[in-house]
Amino acid sequence: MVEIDERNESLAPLVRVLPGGAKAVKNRLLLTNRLLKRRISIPVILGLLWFVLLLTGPLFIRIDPNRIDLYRFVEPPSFNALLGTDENGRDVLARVLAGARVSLIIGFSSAAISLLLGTAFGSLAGYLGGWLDNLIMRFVDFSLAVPTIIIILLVAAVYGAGEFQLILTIGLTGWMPVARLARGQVRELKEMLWVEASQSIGASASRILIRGIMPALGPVLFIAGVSELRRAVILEATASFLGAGILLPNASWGNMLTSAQVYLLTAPWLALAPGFALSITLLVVGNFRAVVAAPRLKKKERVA
Amino acid sequence: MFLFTVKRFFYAALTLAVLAIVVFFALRIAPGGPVAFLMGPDQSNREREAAIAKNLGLDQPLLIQLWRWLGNMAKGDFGYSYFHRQDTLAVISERFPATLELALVCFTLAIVLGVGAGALAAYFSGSIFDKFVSNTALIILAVPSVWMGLLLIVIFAATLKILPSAGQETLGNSGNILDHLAHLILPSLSLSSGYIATFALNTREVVAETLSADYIRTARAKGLSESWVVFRHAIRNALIPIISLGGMALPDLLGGSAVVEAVFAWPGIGQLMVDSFGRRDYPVVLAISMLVAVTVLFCSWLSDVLYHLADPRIKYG
Repeated sequence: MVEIDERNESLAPLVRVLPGGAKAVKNRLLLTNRLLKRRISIPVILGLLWFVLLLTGPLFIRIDPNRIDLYRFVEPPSFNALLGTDENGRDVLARVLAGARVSLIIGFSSAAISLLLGTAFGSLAGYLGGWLDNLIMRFVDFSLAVPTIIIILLVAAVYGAGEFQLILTIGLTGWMPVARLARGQVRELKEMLWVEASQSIGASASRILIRGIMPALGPVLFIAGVSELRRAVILEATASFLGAGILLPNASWGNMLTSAQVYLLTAPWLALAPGFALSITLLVVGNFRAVVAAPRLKKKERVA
Repeated sequence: MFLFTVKRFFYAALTLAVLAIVVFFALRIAPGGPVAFLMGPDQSNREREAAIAKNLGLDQPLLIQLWRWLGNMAKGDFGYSYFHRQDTLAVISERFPATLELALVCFTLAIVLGVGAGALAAYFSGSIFDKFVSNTALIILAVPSVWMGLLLIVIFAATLKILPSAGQETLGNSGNILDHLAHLILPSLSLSSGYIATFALNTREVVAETLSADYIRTARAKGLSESWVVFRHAIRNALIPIISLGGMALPDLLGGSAVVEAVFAWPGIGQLMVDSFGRRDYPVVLAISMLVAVTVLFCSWLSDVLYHLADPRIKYG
């Protein structure tokens, strides 16, 4: 990574020669520095607080999100129900929190799948090159352009809608940008002196990839992972909205929006509550990404 | 150039064929099918089941069905919709114009507003306008199109009551251009907002980078007029990433329109797609998949041509 050399000349030789050196130096300079020294700011703390609130909320709001009470049909927000009740008398706040759980589980799991596959395919293509590189990248180019929501609809129609299907579909359709990014980085890294040094003492390709190159990909993958998380949260909400994701009675921000459609005129809080929860989450995630992304990395990502 | 076009065409045809086969089998592996759907409430009549299957040609071996379908498609015959009892092409062409209209309007908005705002922000880098554009774009990106649609309805249709919230035109008022445009505003805004923001952010970054390049300083030093420097030197060189964004946005808009059509009851192909998947209306699903694939391939070909036009150093093909 060239930027390390630019920042700290004295460490440059270490980075070039030792895989372990590259790992340690890269970590210290890129991630830790950027997170701790430069950017621990009020937005970041508020963002973390938002996640804590979403995850610990059910400990304080001890209401069953699926409990139907038809005597409390569409009540406006009050002390009894902080965000009001929906068309079945269910507590909206409890449902927003239940939706958060679903959204984050699907978000993190499918982002993990995308990261894993993307790194594997991308670094293989980048390191080995040749026809494998060609094949993988051709596939990536094409499938990047296929609208994911159509694939999700197809899968939901064929295999039914559900959390598991959603995680797999979003994860399996999201690895392409990661692969592009990883490929570019690996192609850059493999020209470094320590790779040649490792090869000359007989290290295998898999060893160089796993012990040497993978650790150096860390920061780039972190940013790619956050982008994937953002994408997965949006897709989950959209799919659930269309009835191809989380199905009622289980709560999801997407299917809460579907039910709220009928009451937009009379009870707008039914739409505003899950909608703003979604937007705030996306803002927080976007902010985390901006915090870690160095200008150089941003430039790389634009192409993806 | 000619050889590249031929090669490109060959790859496109190959991709389409592979995709057709994959979608075909993905649909057939799935449990349930059109026969069960068409039989309605009486699911026990085996003779009728067999008759329907025979009528639709579904009693034939899979490979023969696949071969027939591919062969007919090559002749431009997409088969007969099981549900609509109409020619598939007729079903699709009835709905497609509305979707195309929405997608093209959104694409134009994204290019004009997104690229325009981004380029201006880059030119006045660091100004209040620049900060306004960047921050607005970041906020818009946190509002997915579903939620944006509902929000716009709450604001403009429910509260201010100035714009219609659904449909393509007021009943009994067809042919009225103003009425049509009024119906188009909210759906196209909610579909395009995300693209406008993405285009603005990316354009801003690319143009800002280009404007700080050495050759721009040289151009200015030569005494070229400011507009010449910006339009002939800077914008043209910043075009490449914008083209690749645009090339991916257009097919993506087809998928996005499925969502917006559901929110605004827009009579497009999106709803047809969702319903046909559910009904296992094989001919329609397959035809729509092919339509999306052709759009994807066409846009990727178009962006390659545009790359070449924007930067002759890039070889076409």
